[in-house]
Amino acid sequence: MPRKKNLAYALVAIVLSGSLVFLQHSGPVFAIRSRVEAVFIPMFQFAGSVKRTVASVADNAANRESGLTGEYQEVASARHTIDSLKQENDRLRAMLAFKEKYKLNLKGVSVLLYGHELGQEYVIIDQGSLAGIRKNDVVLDARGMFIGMVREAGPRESKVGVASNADEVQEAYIRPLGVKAIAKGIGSRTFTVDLVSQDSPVRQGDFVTVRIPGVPDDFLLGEVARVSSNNGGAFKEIQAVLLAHPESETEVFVLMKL
Amino acid sequence: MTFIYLIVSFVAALCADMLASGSRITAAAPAFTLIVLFYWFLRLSLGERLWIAFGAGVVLDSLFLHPFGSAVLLLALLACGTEWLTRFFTKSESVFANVMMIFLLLCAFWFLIGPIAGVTEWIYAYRG
Repeated sequence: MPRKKNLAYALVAIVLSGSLVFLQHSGPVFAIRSRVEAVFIPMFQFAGSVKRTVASVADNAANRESGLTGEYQEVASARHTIDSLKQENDRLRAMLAFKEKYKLNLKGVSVLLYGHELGQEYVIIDQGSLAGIRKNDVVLDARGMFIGMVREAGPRESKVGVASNADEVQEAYIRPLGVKAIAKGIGSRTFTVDLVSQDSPVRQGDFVTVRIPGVPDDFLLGEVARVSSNNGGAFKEIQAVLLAHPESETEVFVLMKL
Repeated sequence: MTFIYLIVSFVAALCADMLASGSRITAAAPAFTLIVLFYWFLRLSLGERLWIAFGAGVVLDSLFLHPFGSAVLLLALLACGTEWLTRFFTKSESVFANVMMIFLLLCAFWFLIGPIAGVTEWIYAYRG
C-alpha cells in the first residue's frame, strides 16, 4: 500500500512539474511566477541595500584602523560621501550621454542581483516581459560595454547571462584592424577569439567588439590578452578578457528589439 | 509548527545566499538554501517533500540562471530519490548519516541541473 501511495505521489509530482515546464507561457503559470517574483524582488532590493551599507561600514572601519580619529575621521567620511555622489553623478551623466548618442530603443533597468552558478555568471534585472523585455535582448553598461544577453524574461525580472560564460558565442571584430572573428566564452571572464588567420597582425591590447544588427557602432566586448601562433594551423590562438564589470553594476541598459 | 520553521529557515537561507552572492570569498561555497532544503527533505514524508520541492523549485527558478521549471523538475526527482536514499542510510538520527545524505543530494543537484536545464531549454525551443 505505501508503495502504491508513493507511486501516486511521484506521478502527481511529475505531472505538476511537467505542466510547469510545458505550459510556461500559459495564464496560471505566468500568474504563479509573477506572484513569486513580486514577493522576492523586494528581498533582492533589501539584500542589495544591506550589501551597500556593509561596504560603507567596512570603509569607515578601514579609516578607523588607518589611525584616523575625531574630526579627521569626519572629514574622511564626508570625502567618502562626496566621492560616492560624484561617482553616481558621473555614471548617470554617462548613461544619459550614451542614450542620447545612440538614439536607440534603450531601457534603463536596475540590477537586482549578481550571481554565479557552476562557473556561469549572471545578473538579475528588475524588469521583465511585462516591460517588453524579451529573450536574447542585448544588455550594455553605461559606458556602452557589452555585458551579455537576456537568457530568460520572467514577468517582472529577467536573467542576463554574461557574455564570457561558456557556450556564449558572438560575432566579433578585432579593432583597430577590423578583423572579423568569432568570440567564444570559456568562463572566468575569458574568451577565445577564433577564425583569425595567421597573417593578421593582431596584438595584445587590441579590442574585441560586437556588432548588433541595426546599430551603427560596435560595442566593446573585451581586450586581447594573449596571441600565439598555432604552428602549422591556419588560424591564430587568441584569448581575450571581458571589459565589463557586471558584479559592480547597479544600472544597465537593455537594447529592446523593435 | 514544522512548516513555520521550514519557511523561516528557507527564507533566512535565501537571504544569506543573496547577501553572499557576487562575493569572491563565497564563490565556492555551496548554496545555503539547498542545504536547508535538503535537511527538510530528510525530516518530512514523501508527500510533504514533493510540495516543498514544488514551492522551493519555483523560487529557485527565479533566482538561478537555468530555464524556469528546471529546479522544480529536479527537486521533484530528488524528493523521490530521497526515499530511495534513506534505505541505504538508515533513518537514524546519526549526524554522519544526515550529513552524508545532504552531501549526496547536493552533489546530485549540481550534477543533474545542467542536463535537466538542457532538456527544459529543448522543450522551450521545441514549443517555440
